[in-house]
Amino acid sequence: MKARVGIYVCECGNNISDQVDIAALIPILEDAPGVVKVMPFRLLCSKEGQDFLEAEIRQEGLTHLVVAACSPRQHLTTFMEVSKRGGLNPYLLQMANIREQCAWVTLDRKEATEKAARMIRAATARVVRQAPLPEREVAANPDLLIIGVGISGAAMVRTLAGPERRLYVVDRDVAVTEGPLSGMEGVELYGGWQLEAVRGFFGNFEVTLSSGDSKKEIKVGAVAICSGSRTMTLQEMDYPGWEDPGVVLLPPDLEALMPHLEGLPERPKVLFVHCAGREKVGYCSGTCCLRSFRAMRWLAEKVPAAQLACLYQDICVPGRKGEKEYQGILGAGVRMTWGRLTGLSSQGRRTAVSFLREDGSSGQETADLVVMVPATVPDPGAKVLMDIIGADAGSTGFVEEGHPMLEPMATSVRGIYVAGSASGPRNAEASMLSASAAAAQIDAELRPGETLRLEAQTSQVCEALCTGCRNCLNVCTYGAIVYDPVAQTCQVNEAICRGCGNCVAACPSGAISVKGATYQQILQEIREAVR
Amino acid sequence: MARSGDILVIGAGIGGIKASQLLSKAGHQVHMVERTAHIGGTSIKFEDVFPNLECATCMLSPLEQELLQDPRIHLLTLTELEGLEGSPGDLTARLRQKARFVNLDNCIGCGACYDACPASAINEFEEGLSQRKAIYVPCAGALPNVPHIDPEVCIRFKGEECVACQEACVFEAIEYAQEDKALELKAGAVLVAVGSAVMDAKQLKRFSYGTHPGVFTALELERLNASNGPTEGHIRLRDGREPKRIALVHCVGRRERTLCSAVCCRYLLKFRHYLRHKLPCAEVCEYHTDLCLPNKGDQHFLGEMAPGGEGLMRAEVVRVEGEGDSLKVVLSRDGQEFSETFDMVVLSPALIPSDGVAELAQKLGVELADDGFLAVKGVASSRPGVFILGGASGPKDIRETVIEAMAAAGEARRTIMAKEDGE
Repeated sequence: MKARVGIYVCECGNNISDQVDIAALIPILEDAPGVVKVMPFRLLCSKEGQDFLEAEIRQEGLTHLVVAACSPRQHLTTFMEVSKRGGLNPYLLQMANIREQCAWVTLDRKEATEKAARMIRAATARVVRQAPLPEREVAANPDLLIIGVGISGAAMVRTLAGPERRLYVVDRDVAVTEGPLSGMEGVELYGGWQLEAVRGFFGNFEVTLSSGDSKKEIKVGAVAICSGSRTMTLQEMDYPGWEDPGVVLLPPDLEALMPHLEGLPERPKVLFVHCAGREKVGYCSGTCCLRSFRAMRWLAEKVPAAQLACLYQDICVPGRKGEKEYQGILGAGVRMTWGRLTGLSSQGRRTAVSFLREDGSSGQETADLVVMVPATVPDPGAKVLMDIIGADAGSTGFVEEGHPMLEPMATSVRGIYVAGSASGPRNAEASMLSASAAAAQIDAELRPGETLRLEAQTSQVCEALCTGCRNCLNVCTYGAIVYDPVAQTCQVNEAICRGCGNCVAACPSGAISVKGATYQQILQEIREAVR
Repeated sequence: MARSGDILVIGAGIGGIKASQLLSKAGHQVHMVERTAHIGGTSIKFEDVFPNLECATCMLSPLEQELLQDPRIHLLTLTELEGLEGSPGDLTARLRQKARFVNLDNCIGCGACYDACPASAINEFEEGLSQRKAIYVPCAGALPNVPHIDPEVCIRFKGEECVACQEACVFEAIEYAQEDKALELKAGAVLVAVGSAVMDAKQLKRFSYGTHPGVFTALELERLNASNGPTEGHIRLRDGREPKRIALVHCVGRRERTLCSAVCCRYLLKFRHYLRHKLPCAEVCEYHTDLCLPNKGDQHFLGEMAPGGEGLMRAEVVRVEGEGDSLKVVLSRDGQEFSETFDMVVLSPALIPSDGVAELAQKLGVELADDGFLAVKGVASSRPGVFILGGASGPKDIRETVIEAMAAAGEARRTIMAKEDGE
């Protein structure tokens, strides 16, 4: 079919027409190849403007549409909708931004007019080489695999369990199968099982689970990583003299401290050492100061005669609760000493704690009991898990979030979510909250009975040009490219591709292009712009 | 009983935006109420955000655009809650929307009106560092890109016959006859995302804020550095000089408010990045008692911003005294007092409950905590069906606010679904 291009130039009130001589544009544009109509309009984004465009597409039998107006950031979706209403595939529309990039920045009217003409001709040259792109959808499986049933995993199960989706729950602990989550509607518990392989993409993952020699294949739409964290051991911290019997770790359950309090002198001195292991892990765990202060308060009640002291580096109690606890323990007379722990040693029945002061000098304190407040580290299985899934684990070993601020419950792989302390140290309250957030996101993004819309502008590999070098595979952050060893070429999974174009830039053979931004389109666009 | 799957979100900062978008994606109609004329909250004041120094506008602007184009999100700017009646699943919100005096549909945001306007006032958005007109948008890039008339400043509303903005507008968007409106909306649940405010540093006289021109607040520095700010990104003293020695002061008001504001350590470190680029010759000293860097990537950020701890000192700022153009910062370290001289001092005042939060609590029928923030358990308020997220319930960073926004959206949704199942 012969192209019939319509070019519509928005005056944007006077925003464009003041600076661009639109009447002078028309004859320049009319003789561009394929152009059947060029029309100015006062304000194309207005209701009248949209109705006018819709009618024009039909009346003129347009095959391609060029809208010369404002930034596509402002109105691309508006005009794509108009195209659809007019019966034109929305990808056969091109906008030329002659407002922000021309009328508002080019001071000379003659120059602005010429620039606008070039921009519009360039857009026209590009759009006539555009094929219609289908709006694609894929059926999605609403079922979910949850890995780990600690605080966050269990909270997610309770939030999402119901008749609408099946939850597969995997935990290396065998006891999980008979635990409190057993018997919930739609929940299958796999205690003692682990993840072996994950294939596929958001909405359609195929997962292999294993337990010894047994294997099981399941299909899910999404995976939630709730593998949690643990605290560092004394051995891992490896401070000199850590084996001293007067040194204990602050346990999660404070009652576990009781045996260590027995046999202490009448007015025992108990020293809490904060930031234990911090240098080794390379981050502040953010939750330990508050945990330690609460332990001090507990201890002061259990052993009122105890003299409490604290060796610290930074008090990190963000928010409204922690500082109150801190002021509370200061008020209760806990003696604070700034110091960086260097070693521990026995001194009779007591333990000597050596540290460095800020000025570099050494200090020492002795105590009847030394309570080490340990750093939080990722679960050892997390790294393996991330390798299997293909998502990023950061340098700290915790799961990296999709975006540190805006996508804290997502990972680098679409459809793989993370909750609780798997992505960084969190206390129980924060873990519950994050589980609630992740559940809400999964519930909104993977709705039972709904299909998933796929990106229309995906990349495509020209097999004749592909040499199979696999550069593209390495730069694809979505895992959308696979190498076919038989054909010895790379192929794009269009269900995963988001059209970012990384692979296009990486391909040395020019074999890859993104639909809607092919080499030919861009070349012709540039040619018209600089002609 | 009439019930509603609609959700009312109060506040259009980053928390309100993320919650609304998640709810819209899940199929709910969202009514979003914002008391100012624009969306984006506090985050749009930032040039870059910690810890990855991403451009804040580039991060937020696409989200804001998406929100404005979302057919399931109904945005009401210049609107405040008057009252909330009913029970979860069947709530009625009474709202009051102030007149914008500009037709949102007709205006294309060209800005011809504010060039024409003869009246001006202090621009609150720019922390008072610049002037604005009576008809204005607070800064370039604010969305929706439609100005509003401040009737407190506009001379027409003071009885003069001015039609300058109307004459300048070729889109016939200026409507002086607009009036405040009372509205009523049905909703199944309410999300409160009104954020927090910054303590008035003038209250802490020892820091000389407001009495010496060389003392700035963190938000002032943020706007001075902003490319769309009052100086187009030039960091200057109030008299136009380039600062040469700059002190960054942590924990301003921490003791008085008995809270750690959670974000100051990281944004003050971020300022080192601003200053390094804008004023490479300036000497920067940062005084802190603790460093609150609670996330896994924060120590790395610290290392990048202050390699080897350069310019960081553990010392308490006792007071700041003016000495002509200079400022004497009196410090205390291990019980010893000493002082240093600077020409610019930047304070990090504590985060406090936002203006009017006590009245809002009353209108919502929810409890306040004794520190003035809204009382919460997780994200639940004391009233079923009303959820609180972000800075409204205590100092939060963007990340925590977003997590709470998503959690609150999920809880609100579950409240509505439970109600529906129950019938």
